[in-house]
Amino acid sequence: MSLLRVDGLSLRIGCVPILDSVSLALPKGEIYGLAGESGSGKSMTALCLMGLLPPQAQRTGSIRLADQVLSDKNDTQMCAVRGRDIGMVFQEPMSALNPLQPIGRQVAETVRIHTKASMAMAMDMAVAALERVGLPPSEISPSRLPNDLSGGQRQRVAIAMATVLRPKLIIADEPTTALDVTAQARILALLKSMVEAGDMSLLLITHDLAVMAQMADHLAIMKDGKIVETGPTLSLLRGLSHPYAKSLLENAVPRAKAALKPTPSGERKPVLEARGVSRDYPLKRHHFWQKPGSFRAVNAVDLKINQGESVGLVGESGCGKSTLLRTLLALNAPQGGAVLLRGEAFSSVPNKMVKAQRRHIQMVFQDPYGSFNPRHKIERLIAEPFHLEDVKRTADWRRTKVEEVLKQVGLKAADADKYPHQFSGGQRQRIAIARALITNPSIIALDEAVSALDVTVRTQILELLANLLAKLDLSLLFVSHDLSVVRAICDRVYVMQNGKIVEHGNTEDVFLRPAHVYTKALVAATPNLEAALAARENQAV
Amino acid sequence: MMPRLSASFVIGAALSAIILLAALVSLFWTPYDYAALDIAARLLPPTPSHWFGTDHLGRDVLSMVMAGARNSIAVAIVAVCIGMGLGVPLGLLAAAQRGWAEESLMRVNDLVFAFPALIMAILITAVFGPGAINAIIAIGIFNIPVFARLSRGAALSLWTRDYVLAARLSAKRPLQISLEHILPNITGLLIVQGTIQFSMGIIAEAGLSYVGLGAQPPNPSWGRMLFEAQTMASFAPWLALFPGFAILFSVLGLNLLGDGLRDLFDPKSRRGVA
Repeated sequence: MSLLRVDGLSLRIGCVPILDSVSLALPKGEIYGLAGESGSGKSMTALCLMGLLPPQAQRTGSIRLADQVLSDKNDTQMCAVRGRDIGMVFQEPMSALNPLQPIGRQVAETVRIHTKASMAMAMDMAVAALERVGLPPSEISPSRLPNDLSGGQRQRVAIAMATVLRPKLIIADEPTTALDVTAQARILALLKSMVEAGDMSLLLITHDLAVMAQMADHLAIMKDGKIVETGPTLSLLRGLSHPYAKSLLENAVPRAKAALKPTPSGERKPVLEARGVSRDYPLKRHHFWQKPGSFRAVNAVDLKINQGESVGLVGESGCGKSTLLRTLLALNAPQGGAVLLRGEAFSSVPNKMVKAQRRHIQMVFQDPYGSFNPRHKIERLIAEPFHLEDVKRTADWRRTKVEEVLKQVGLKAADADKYPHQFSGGQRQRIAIARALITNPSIIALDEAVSALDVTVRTQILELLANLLAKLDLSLLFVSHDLSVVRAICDRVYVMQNGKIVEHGNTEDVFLRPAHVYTKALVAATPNLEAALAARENQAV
Repeated sequence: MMPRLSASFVIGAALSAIILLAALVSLFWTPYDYAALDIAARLLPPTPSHWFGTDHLGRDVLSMVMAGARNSIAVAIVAVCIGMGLGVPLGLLAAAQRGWAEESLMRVNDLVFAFPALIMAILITAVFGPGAINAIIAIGIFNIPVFARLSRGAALSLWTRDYVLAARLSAKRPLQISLEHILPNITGLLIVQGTIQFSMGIIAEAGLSYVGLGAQPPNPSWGRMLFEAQTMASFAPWLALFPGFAILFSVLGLNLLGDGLRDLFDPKSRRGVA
C-alpha cells in the first residue's frame, strides 16, 4: 500500500506546459528519489504535492496521500495538510528560516498552527524535535538565532521544523546542494536515519545521482516534465535504457576525455607562484576607541603552478580559497609574502608593469549569468581584455580575434553580435572562457567555473578545458569545493583549510591516499556513485 | 517580446502628456494674454468664453494655468537635471572610491539632505532676491543627495558583480568601469527616480511660489495663483480649483508614470511573466 500516489499529474502555467502525466507511488518508510537537470520539473512536482502553485497554474491528475485526496483540496484545506501530514525542506536553509526569531520558537510555531498545544507544550515538542536532528539544548540552545548557526545546523533546524509533528511524508528539495560536502554527508545520514527510525517516507529531489545512489530506494529520472525512467535505484542505475537517463548517469561523475598531453620531462618554469602569502580582513570594532582587530583569512600559503599544468585548489566554504584567489590575481594586496607571475613580482598597485603582466593571467567566474554586462554585445565583452594592450588595434583586427576565440570554444563567429541573455548557462561559460583566452594568457584561474552547470553541460565544459590544455601552452588554476570535478581535470591539487594549505600533491595520490585528517574527511564525505552502488550490491547479496 | 504596458504607465503617460502639451502650446498661443488685465470681466465663473473663469483682475485663468505649466515644468526639469548632473557622479565616485572619500562625501550629502528645500530657498532668496532661477537652484540642490544616495547604493551592489571584476582584471580604472559597466546598468533606476523627483519638483515649486519665493509677477505660477485665490475661495472657488487640479494631475501623472517605468525596467516586479 503506497503512502503517496500520484497519477497522471499534468501542469500548465499560463500556456507553458510544465509537467506531463507524472505518476509515482511512494511506499511507507521508503526514500523515493526524483532526479533530473534544472528545468526538468522536479521542484514543480514537489510544489504540486504541497499545493503551492502560482495562481495561473492549471493542474490535472490525482494526488493521494494515505486516505486523503490532496488534488481535491482547496488552499485552506491544504494548509491543514502542509506541516502536519507533509513536511518540506528547501535548498537554502538561510532563506527558509526567519532571521529574527529564535530557532526553538520557529519550530514550535508549526506545532502551534496545527494543534491546540500551549506555548510551553509546543516548546517542549520543538526541543525534542531539535534533539532528534542532533541539536540538543545542551549544545545549541533553542533561544539561538539562525545567524549564530552554520549552514548545516540551519538545515537541521529546517528538518526539525518539517518533522516536529512527525508527518507521514517529508519532501526535501535539494536539501544539501547549498552545503559543504562534510555537512552534506551528515545531513544525508540524518535524513536516512530518520526515515529508518520512524514510519516516515522521504521524497528526495536532487540533481546529484551520487547522492541518489546512496540514499534512494526507488528512483525516477525526469526530463522536460516527464518521468523518463523509473525503478528500484540499484537495478535502474545498473541497467538504464533511456538515452537521456544514460547520459545523465555517464556525466554524474565529472570527467574530461580529451587526449592528455604527455607530461614534458625536465624542469618546467613556474607560471604563478605564491610565497608565504597572508591576507587579513579587519574585524568590526565593538566600540569606537577599540583598535580594529583582524582575521587572517589566508595564512602563509605557498603555492606553485608550472607551465602547462592544471592545478586544483579545494576546500570548503570559508576556508579562504576565494581570498587567496583574489590575492593571486593581484586584486587585493597580501599582508605578507609575495605573488610571482612568470617569475616577476605581481603587485596589486596598478601601474604600467602590472598592466602588461595582467595579459598573462585571466579568470572565469562561477555564475554564468553574472559574468557579463547585460548591455554589451558578445564582441565587446570578449574584447574587453584588449584594454591591457598598449598598441592601438583596428576594429577589424579585434573582430578577427574575437571570432577566432569564439570558434576555439565551440561557438559560431556570428555569436559575436548577440547579447549575453541569448545564450544558455553552458554557452555563457564558453564565452567566459573565450574572454579569458583572448589575450593568450599563460594561466587561467577558474573560480567554481562548473558548479552552477547541469551535469551534461559540465562534462562539455570540462572537455573543452582539457582540449585547450592539450592544444595551448596554458596552465589552469581550478578552484572548487567539488573534489570530483578537481579530480577530473587537475594534475596536482592543493587542499585548503582555515586559511592554510594542509596537503598538496598529485591529484590521484591525494585522493587515493590522503595524508591529512581533513583531506581524509573530505574524500570520505564526497558522494561516490560507484562505491554507493557497490555497497548496495553487497547488501543485496 | 514587448512586455504589456501597465495601466499606471498608460494613465501616467497620458496625464503627463496633457500637461506637457499645455505647456508647449502656451509658448505660442494662449486663449488670452495671461498678463492682460480686464477689470470689466473680473471674477467671471467658467463660461464658454473663459473656460476656467477669470480672476479678481480679470485675467483668464485657463491662460494662466497653461503658462503656469510652462513655469512649473521648466523649474522642475532644470532642478532634476541639476540633481542628476551633480548627484549621480558624486554617488558613482563614492561607490568607486570607498574609504574616507566615500564617508565624507556621503556625510556632506546627509547634511544637505537634512536641510528642507524651503529653508534653502529662503536662504538663497535672502542673498540673491526672489525669482524662478533661485527656486530652480534651491530645488536642484535638494535633489543632489537624492540621486547621490540612489546611485551610490545601486553602484555598490554592481561593484560586486563578476563582470566588474573581469573589467578590473583587464586593468580598467574605476572611472572607466563606472562609465562603462555601472552607469548603463543603473539608468533605468535613475529614469524612474527622475520622474518621481520631477513631480516632487513641481510640488516644491508650487510651495515656493505660494510663499512668494518662486516666479515673480507677471509670470504666472500655480503656487501663487493658489495664494491669491485663497482669500476669494468662498465666492470664487474656481480660482483655487483649477491651479489645484493642475498640480494634482501633473504630480499624479508623473508618479504613475514613474511606477509604470519601474515595472518596465525591473523584470523582478513584473507580475505574471516567468
